[in-house]
Amino acid sequence: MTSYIARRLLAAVPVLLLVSLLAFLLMQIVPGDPAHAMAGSDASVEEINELRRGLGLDRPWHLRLAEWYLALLQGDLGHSYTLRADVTDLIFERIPITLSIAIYSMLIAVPFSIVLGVLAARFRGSALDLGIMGAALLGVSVPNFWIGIMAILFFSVQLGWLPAGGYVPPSESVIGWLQSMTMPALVLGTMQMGLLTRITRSEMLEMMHKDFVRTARAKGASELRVMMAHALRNAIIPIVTVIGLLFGMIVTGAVVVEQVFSVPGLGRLIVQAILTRDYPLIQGTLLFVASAFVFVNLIVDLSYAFFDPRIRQN
Amino acid sequence: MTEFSQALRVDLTEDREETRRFLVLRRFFRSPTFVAGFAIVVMLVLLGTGGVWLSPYEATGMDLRNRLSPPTAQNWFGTDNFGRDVFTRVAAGSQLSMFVGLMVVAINAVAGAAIGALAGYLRQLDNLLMRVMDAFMAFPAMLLAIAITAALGPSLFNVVVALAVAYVPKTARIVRGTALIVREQQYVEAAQVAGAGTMRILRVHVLPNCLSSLVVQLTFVFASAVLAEATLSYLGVGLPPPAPTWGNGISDGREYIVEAWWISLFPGLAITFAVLGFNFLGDGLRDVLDPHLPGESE
Repeated sequence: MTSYIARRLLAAVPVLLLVSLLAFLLMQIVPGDPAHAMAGSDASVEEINELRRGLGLDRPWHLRLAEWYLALLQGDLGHSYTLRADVTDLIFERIPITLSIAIYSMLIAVPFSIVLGVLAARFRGSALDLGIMGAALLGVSVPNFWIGIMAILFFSVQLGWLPAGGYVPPSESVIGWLQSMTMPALVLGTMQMGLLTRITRSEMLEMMHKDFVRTARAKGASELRVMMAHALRNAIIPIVTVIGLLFGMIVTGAVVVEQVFSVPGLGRLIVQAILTRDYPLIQGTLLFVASAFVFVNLIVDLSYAFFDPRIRQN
Repeated sequence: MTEFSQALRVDLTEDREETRRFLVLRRFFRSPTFVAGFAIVVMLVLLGTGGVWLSPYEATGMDLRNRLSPPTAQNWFGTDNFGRDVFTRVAAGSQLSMFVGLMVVAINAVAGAAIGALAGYLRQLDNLLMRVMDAFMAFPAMLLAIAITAALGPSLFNVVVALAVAYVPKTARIVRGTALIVREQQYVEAAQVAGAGTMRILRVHVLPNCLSSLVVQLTFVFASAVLAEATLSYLGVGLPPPAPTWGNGISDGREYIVEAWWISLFPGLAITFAVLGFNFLGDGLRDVLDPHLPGESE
């Protein structure tokens, strides 16, 4: 197991190197240069030159690349010009908020969709199956920012049940925090639920035709036991993969949902960085998210080994 | 049915090729999901062409005396904060969405097939190409698209470029997966022994066999591109505001959600409808072409 983990960790190194190179290159493809774009159209030549010096853009690119990597090794992602703070600090300030929405939405989405997927598979072809699958497909097709706006219209404006947006820290009021997080989490969960329900159903259908399920039935195991202990137990690996892949969707979803509900999380920071053309902040947040994505994929791979001992062998 | 099968038998003797195509088409139209998807896509194309043509309004034509009008016989979907007809804007938005979707799919088809087939067939290139693709895939696709449009600036061309870059790696990976299987087949070995060149083997054997998984993937890319384009517009990094994209429509209506819900409602329904249509189409195609492909559409 240890050597397996070590091998997987080593394999992540070249990917991370390329990812950081891509994040560096992003700053180089800006037409003109970032100093021009950041300063705006009514800036004087001196202002632009000063900004360029501040960004280090007056030095050759290979020097900047070397400095970029040197700084990265020290955990330094650069300095935000609009927010006048270190990018690393800004990111770590926002992480708990985004992470809590993400976890909240997964706590809703994962159990629900596994139950729905199992039910749809068990009663394949029935009206229940059709209804669940229709809802699931709708879940992956509907744009989450639109669902968010419609949810505000319904739950906040019409019914007045939940706040239309904003964020209440749990240190201030736990109830207020829960109220402010519920709609974003539900909206973030719609697409996840759709995807996960579909995967669970198709994996379960595949497992239900396997010999070991027939054997379990033949030896008289209860239907619940057949489905849970035999079919679902074997369908769990692809399901876990998808839960891992959902991370990417949650991050993108968070960008949109935090914007809709004015939640000051990591996603809102990225949008803010883009709209104010704060390139060091764009670069830093993207690199952070991509690295986190690589690590989540790594954890997913390692969890296979946990769920399926056969993978550990080779 | 007997008449039908007789007609079929006559066909078989007359023109085998035509019958084969007919039978494949018939298999598609037997799949209810394919039919549903096909119908929705046809309706969208009709909306984009006929709707714009029939409408007496311009998509960007303002009428400030008729602001925020609820749906009426004159303005089927109401008007927005500038008095623009929401129906005309939704119809024109369908054209834009279809155009972006088609362009992204076209680039995906060419680049994804080329990279995937090369990586899958030529082992020397595999590691290099796929590691680069991995790095791109390390960014969530949508986020990569946001980053690229943020760097390049908001425009139709940049949106297409950004979405193409975001989705090509996955398409390439899927084609590579199929190409890896094809290269081990005996007919490929036979072609190699017969002295066929690499390009010929790729063109005649590898690519045609990757076609069905490619087509299925491309339908899902289309669905994702429509959704992503709307999201980019909504976030303010897609096509800039006067353009009647669906995302812009929803974003315009955000401020007026309490007094004029129709501004956001209809473009959102249009997106859902379009994405649902292409997802149906993809599901249907997959059921017919690739029964063993795992179900997934990101």
